[in-house]
Amino acid sequence: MAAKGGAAPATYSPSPTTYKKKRAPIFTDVDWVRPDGRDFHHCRPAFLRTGAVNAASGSAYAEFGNTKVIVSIFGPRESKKALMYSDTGRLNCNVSYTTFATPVRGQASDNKEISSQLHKSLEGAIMLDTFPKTTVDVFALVLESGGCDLPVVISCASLALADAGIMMYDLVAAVSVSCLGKNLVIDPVSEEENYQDGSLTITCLPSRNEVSQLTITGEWSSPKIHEGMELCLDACAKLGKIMRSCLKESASTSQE
Amino acid sequence: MGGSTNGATDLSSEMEVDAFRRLFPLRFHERHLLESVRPDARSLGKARETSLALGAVASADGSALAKIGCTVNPTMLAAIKMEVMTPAKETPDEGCVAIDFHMPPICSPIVRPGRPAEAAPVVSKQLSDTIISSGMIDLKELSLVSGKAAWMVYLDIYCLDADGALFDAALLAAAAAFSHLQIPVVSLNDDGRIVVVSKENGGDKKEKNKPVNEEKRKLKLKNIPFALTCILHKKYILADPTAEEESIMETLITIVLDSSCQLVSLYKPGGPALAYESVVQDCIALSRQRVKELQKVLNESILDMEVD
Amino acid sequence: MDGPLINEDRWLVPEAYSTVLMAPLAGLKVLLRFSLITPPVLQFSFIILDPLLLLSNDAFSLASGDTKVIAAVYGPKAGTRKNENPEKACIEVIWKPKTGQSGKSESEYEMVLKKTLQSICLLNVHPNTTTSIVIQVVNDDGALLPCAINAACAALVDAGTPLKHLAVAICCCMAENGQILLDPSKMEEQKVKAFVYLAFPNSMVSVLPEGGKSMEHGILTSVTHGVMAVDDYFSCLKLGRPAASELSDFIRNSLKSKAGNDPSKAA
Repeated sequence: MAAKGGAAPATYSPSPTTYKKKRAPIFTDVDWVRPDGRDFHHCRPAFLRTGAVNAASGSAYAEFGNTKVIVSIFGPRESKKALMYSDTGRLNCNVSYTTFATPVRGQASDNKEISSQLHKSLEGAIMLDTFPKTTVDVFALVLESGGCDLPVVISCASLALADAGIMMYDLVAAVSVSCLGKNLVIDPVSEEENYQDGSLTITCLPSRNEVSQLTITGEWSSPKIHEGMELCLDACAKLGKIMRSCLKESASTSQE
Repeated sequence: MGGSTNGATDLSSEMEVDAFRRLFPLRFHERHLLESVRPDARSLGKARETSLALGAVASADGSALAKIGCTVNPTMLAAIKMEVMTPAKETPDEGCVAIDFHMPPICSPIVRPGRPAEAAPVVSKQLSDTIISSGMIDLKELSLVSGKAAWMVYLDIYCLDADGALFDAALLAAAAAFSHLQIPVVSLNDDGRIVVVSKENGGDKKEKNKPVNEEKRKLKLKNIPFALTCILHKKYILADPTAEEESIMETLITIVLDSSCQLVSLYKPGGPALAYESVVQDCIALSRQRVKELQKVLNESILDMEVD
Repeated sequence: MDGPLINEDRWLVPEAYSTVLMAPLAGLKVLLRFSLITPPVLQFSFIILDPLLLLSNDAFSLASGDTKVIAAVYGPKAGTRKNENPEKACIEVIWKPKTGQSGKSESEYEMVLKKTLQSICLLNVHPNTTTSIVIQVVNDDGALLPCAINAACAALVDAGTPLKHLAVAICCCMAENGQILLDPSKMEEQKVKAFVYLAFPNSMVSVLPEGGKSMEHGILTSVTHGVMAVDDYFSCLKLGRPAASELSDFIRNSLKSKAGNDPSKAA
């Protein structure tokens, strides 16, 4: 038995994913169907909504397939007392996962890494000098992790910042592609992420055509990178449009 | 003192409502109470509109979203994950329930990352006390193989938007998550571990490893507890307070009744107002009404899910 | 002495308690007596109360493992904690379990005790200060929270913290057969179907406040465990109230005799 007796009995998940780690053979073939039946170059349907949390100064909810994220913005508010005077504003980002976000309870990846990535990709888009001496807090909670968590968090956070009325140069849209064998798949789900050979994430300001962060991991050839970046930038531009229309919609409903 | 209150009255005639609300919150609310109405247009004894959505989290075995208030936003998200444990020697036929209440930084401006909210462990303890002592769940139903394996039910409740009466909303979400819970069919494999019988490999292994819990897919919930928090302020009783009301008028009383109207908990942690017997009776009467309302909301959400 | 209930020796900290925790406290006390200008700690005090002993009128039950709690009051210290109202005095409760680390139930006790004490203290007298109450559980034999409320209240009196009135706490429990027991032991607490912790205010006013309702009839704090009928709760209330007033007489008497016997405070 894996579990030992005692005051706090050790528990294990009965789900078979815990010990089935081998890469499914279908992914190596040229022709295979993605787990959710999408085309390789199709993103998941995105659902975005602003104003998800009343207690926050701005907030947004994003749902991309099974990935569900809430981001709340607090501030601009007083910086921590220990911090030095600064004539530009500060950005404080934190991402956390619910215990049920992953198939096996409490197995979420490193929050610190994701938090700092979120910080880096947003920092360049925000006009920090519009709120000197103060801090804007960006808190994200991943309700359910279904792959591509970081890009979804980034896009959702920029929407929430806009909802909070924080001045930005542009919205920030993020998309990632996975390299699986010979194929590039956009907006991968968790299962594809687990078997991927490499991943490429672009965070960009679509209207200004600027990239605020580019992350490439794994094995890539130069033409593949080029192809992946083209794919991502195209998807970011489309996502940016969806985000913009979501903001317009919420602004028009609040005016009525 | 007299001068300052007069000053407030003089100011208030000219001041905008929002500014008055911020500067003199107590007077703002008391003025409403005089007219037996609250800033959000509710009558004093009326709880906020409540709705439930079951099965919000696909990765959990049971989950529910509770929405309290007129907005479309969810307030509480409860989800259950089932794991397997070896039961304690004293209770070989019983499973276990672990309940945790979380207040992530997104829910309120007071909570900061790394510094958990003071209220979270208190609500957490109250929830597990209430759920365990109400007898809603028969722990014997969680047994799989006597003395060898039993279910450990992890119930996690996340507050997504803290707007008063957290315990009430959390308890409702918890009860709803239990009603939604679908226990996976599992079997005992050759290594003595419990594994989920999935559809594709269930066929070829069926003869060897029989599922151990085919009939026990749902928990029988009896005496589901429902809570109502009230504010006591002077002679007024305000049901289901918002966060703003809670911060201004400090005496809270939480009454938990189960579906057969037995008292599960009567919780009044101090506060400047005293609860006289008649007041307690009034609060209990309000809770009885609320139990009926919530029971209906829960039943409807279960029906909705079955239709889908 | 005030009748057979109280044994003067019990007001002293017995040798056994002067452990690592108590030693610095004792040291501070001596220090204080010589100089009253130590800024972080202005007053402090401890008191041991034993509700079982008080109610049962049985002085020997002390040896058979009863509920014991040490309450120490520190402050008022300058400043309040974050998220507290600086225009009022802040009360902070630190609950130290008998063994191990503080968990959820400790933080629940802290919250209940804090809110109870906040409602009996005159918080406007010392604005922007913090008074810390440290509760050290010495032995838990049922009715722990009521014991802590009584001890903390007595410690506040001893520290000279301005109070509106006293709080008196008791525990009632409902046995399976519908019988109501007062002040159960740990064993009884686990066996009965439900129990109620109640705290009542206790003041010396001779004129009743508006409405004609005596203050003693209002519940200050109520915490219940287990399922019971609503009527059972009210029977507990009926039985608890006279018990609480009996207990409050005792607390008042012993506080008086303590004040009279303490040479340092008499001056």
